[in-house]
Amino acid sequence: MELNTDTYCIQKVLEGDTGCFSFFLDKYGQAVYSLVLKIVRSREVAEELTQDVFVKVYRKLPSFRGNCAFSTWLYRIAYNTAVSEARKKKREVSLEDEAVPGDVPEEAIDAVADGGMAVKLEILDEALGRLSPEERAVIVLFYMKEKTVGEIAEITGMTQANVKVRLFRIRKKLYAIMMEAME
Amino acid sequence: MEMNKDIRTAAEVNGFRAVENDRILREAFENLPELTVPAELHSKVMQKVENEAKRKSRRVEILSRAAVVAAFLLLAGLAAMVIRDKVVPLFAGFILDIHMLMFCTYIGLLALSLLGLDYIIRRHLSRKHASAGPDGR
Repeated sequence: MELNTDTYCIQKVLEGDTGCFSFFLDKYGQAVYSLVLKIVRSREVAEELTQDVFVKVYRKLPSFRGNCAFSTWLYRIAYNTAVSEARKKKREVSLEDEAVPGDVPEEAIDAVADGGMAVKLEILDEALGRLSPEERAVIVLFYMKEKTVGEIAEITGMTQANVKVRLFRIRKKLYAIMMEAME
Repeated sequence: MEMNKDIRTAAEVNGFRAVENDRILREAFENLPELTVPAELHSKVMQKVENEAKRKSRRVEILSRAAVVAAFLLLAGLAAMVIRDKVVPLFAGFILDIHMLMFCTYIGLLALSLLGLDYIIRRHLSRKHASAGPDGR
């Protein structure tokens, strides 16, 4: 039997071996922290929330039915915790309510593409900051965590079609913001 | 026919563009620096989990004690109801009729005192017989 599998550790934790919980921290701690950090954009808050996420996971572990991968379930808790905290903390002016950028000129994308990596990263980070927490979460899950559309749908509770549309719009929005930043 | 070809070419170009744009973003995201987890996060979370486990076991203990107390109270309540509804009515006549109770008490005490008197007289007589000796003198 594979000892270090999620299922085995879940079983051990449910039997009362709390020490086994550190396996989840080692395996998913970094991923959860970086996702939460990208959503809330504050190290202190991200640290607090990551702790909260794992405590919630421990509390809710008996209710994990195994209908989806453990990592997806964990990301769902992290997503909900971080997004609701970000909503509480900051009433952001959502760009979604503003006019959705129309066709982004190809030259702008080329300009972004031609810029050096350092410039690109700086601009991308700034652009991410101007997205809403949900949008940041979706784009980070897709590009950084390399989750599939199906997995993102499970994590966020949206439909797959909705995730695809959102990804398309967020990409467009990112380019528009990046273009604006380059000007 | 010609127009279809143009549309196909345009779609291919757009498709290529979309893939290209996606590649640019993917590359940028891959290069975004990922901050490492604070060193003390692991120990802090484990501490919280341990506390949570303790709280959970205490909660279970309290709940099981509460269940025992509730079961005891339920049984005591049932017993009280049974005694009130089934047992008390059997004696209701005796308890309520004071004269009958006093008469029964009088008869009981009389019977007990006669029994006691009988016991004392018998003992006295048997002692007397024993001290008189086998020949009766």
